[in-house]
Amino acid sequence: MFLIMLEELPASLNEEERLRALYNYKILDTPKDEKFNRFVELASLICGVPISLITLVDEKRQWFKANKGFAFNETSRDLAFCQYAIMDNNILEVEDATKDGRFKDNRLVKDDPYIRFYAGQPLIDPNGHALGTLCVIDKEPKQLTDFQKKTLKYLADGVVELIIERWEKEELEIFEKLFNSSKDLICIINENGFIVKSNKSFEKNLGLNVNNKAEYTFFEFIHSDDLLSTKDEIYKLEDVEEIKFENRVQTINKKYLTIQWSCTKDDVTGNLFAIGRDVSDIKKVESDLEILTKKLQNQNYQLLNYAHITSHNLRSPVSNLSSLLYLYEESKTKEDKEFLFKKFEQVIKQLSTTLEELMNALIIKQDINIPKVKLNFTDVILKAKESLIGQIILSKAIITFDFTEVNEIEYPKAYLESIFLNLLSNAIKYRSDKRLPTIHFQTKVLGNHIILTVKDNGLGIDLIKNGDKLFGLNKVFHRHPESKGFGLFITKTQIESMNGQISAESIVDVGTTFKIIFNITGND
Amino acid sequence: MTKSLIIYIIDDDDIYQFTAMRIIETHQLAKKTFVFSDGEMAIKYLINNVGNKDNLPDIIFLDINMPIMDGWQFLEEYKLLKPKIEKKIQIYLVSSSLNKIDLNRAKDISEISDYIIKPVKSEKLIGLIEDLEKKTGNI
Repeated sequence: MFLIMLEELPASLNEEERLRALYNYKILDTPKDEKFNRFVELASLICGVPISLITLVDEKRQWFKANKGFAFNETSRDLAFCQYAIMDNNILEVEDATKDGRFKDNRLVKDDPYIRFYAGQPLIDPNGHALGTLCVIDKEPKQLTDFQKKTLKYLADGVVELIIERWEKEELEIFEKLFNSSKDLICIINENGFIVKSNKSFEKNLGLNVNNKAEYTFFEFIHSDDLLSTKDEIYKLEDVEEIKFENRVQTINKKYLTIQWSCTKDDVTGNLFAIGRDVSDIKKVESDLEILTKKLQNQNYQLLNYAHITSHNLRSPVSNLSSLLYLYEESKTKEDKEFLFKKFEQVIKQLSTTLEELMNALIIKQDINIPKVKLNFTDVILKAKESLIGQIILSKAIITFDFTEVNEIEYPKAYLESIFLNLLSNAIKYRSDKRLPTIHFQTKVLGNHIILTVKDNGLGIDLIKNGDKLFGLNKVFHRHPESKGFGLFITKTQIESMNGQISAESIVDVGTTFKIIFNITGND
Repeated sequence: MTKSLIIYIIDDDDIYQFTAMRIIETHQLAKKTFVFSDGEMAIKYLINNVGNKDNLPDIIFLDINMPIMDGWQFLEEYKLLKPKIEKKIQIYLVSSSLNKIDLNRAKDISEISDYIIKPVKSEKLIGLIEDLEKKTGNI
């Protein structure tokens, strides 16, 4: 039984590998192809036979990639002369099938198309696998000349090359599709930094002119601040196989994307393969998180500040009240009791003022959605000057302003007026007797911010000693009858609630400059 | 009660100044009491009276939160001045602050004898001064 099987279905020892190789070329059941047809036309002409085939021998059948003069596109494997041909590297020639024990009972011999002559040159791929044959068939017995055999051999080599070429082209098309359908930016950069090849995403995002790709260098798209670090990273490829880094790349819309690159180097050509992923959104989330953290830290700090305020500004008067109460109870005369009662009044007044200021600050903190309106710096300063006209005349203060760079801001009206009023009254209050007070207001634009500076030539504050307390509640730095220290605390609270900042520079006996940064974009 | 001690009160709160003075006077706790509204006034007075034992204090009641020069800043200046002062001075930090940061900071300063939290009761003040008088009497 086994012997019969062997005779009926010959198979090479490495049949499994041979089949895998055949399937790998992905040629079975593909459409007819003129390039392959030429080979069978040529083979039939040269050998002077009516039939020529390019056969590919599958597990169960032989399939014809090219067919000249044969009625079927495939036959079952048991009918195939070719299955014998592929057992060897050399040509199999059957001069008369009716006289060959292997074929005389074959249906294709006994019946139409009555095959008599068969010659099959195996198609051997570079790995030695016989995929099928280039064969010639006649209805008459025949013998090929050496010239015809040699030609068939050359033609078979050509068919194998075509099979491989076709396969490579198809593979390349798949890679090309993958290359171009990827959302990642992919490019190949030569040793001089020029872009040799890039994918659609790269071209679309960065606005490369597809026809003149070679005229672009990779580096011209990179943010100037990231250029050095990018070059440093690429240098590392001398020592390591792969590098990963981030930089900012300018898009066709003049925006910057944050790209996470993965780069390898082709040692043969020296080309760089770069694959970049747009992580701008992730970066934005990260930076939003950072802003949020900062905001939380700031709020936490403000809470601590409130704890401090309650500890000092509320506990002090309360402890004074309890001391006074004790003295009041010990007091023996009516006059003394009346005298002490006056002291009670004083403390209660102080306590209610402090509470009122604290409430104001809390309202500002809660009122983050306070409406913003378009305001004019000139109007606001004129209003502040009007409110303080008495003090200005008395102090002979010279108040100047320069709002030429920017005169408009969208801000809560009450806040901006309060900020100007506090800064101006502070500057007048803490003037130096040694010179005529001058106070200068100026605005500048810096990116998304408006910077307001208020510069005076007053007493100044020792910021090394007092810098941390400058904007605290009830902080005063001068023995001045009007010193109260509420102004800057409220000013700071208002500015910070609008995501701005206030800081000061000061030299004792020279003057103070307050700098306020208004965040125009807000927090959204 | 012997009136041997000289007391400095350094505090910007005039009600506190008044209540403390009233207790000291009522119970005749001091020979002399000096009141300063901030650290700078006090340190200047100390500098001017370095050699004058009659104006140097035995006890300083020092507030933390004051304008111009606060309690901490006063202590910094005092440390520099201390070697020149021949009198032993007890410094009590007096504050309404229950802030742990302030309390811990006070513990690290050797010049501070104790930390007193306002309101200062007359019993506390009397006990404190009597103890000190006994001690100085023994020396």
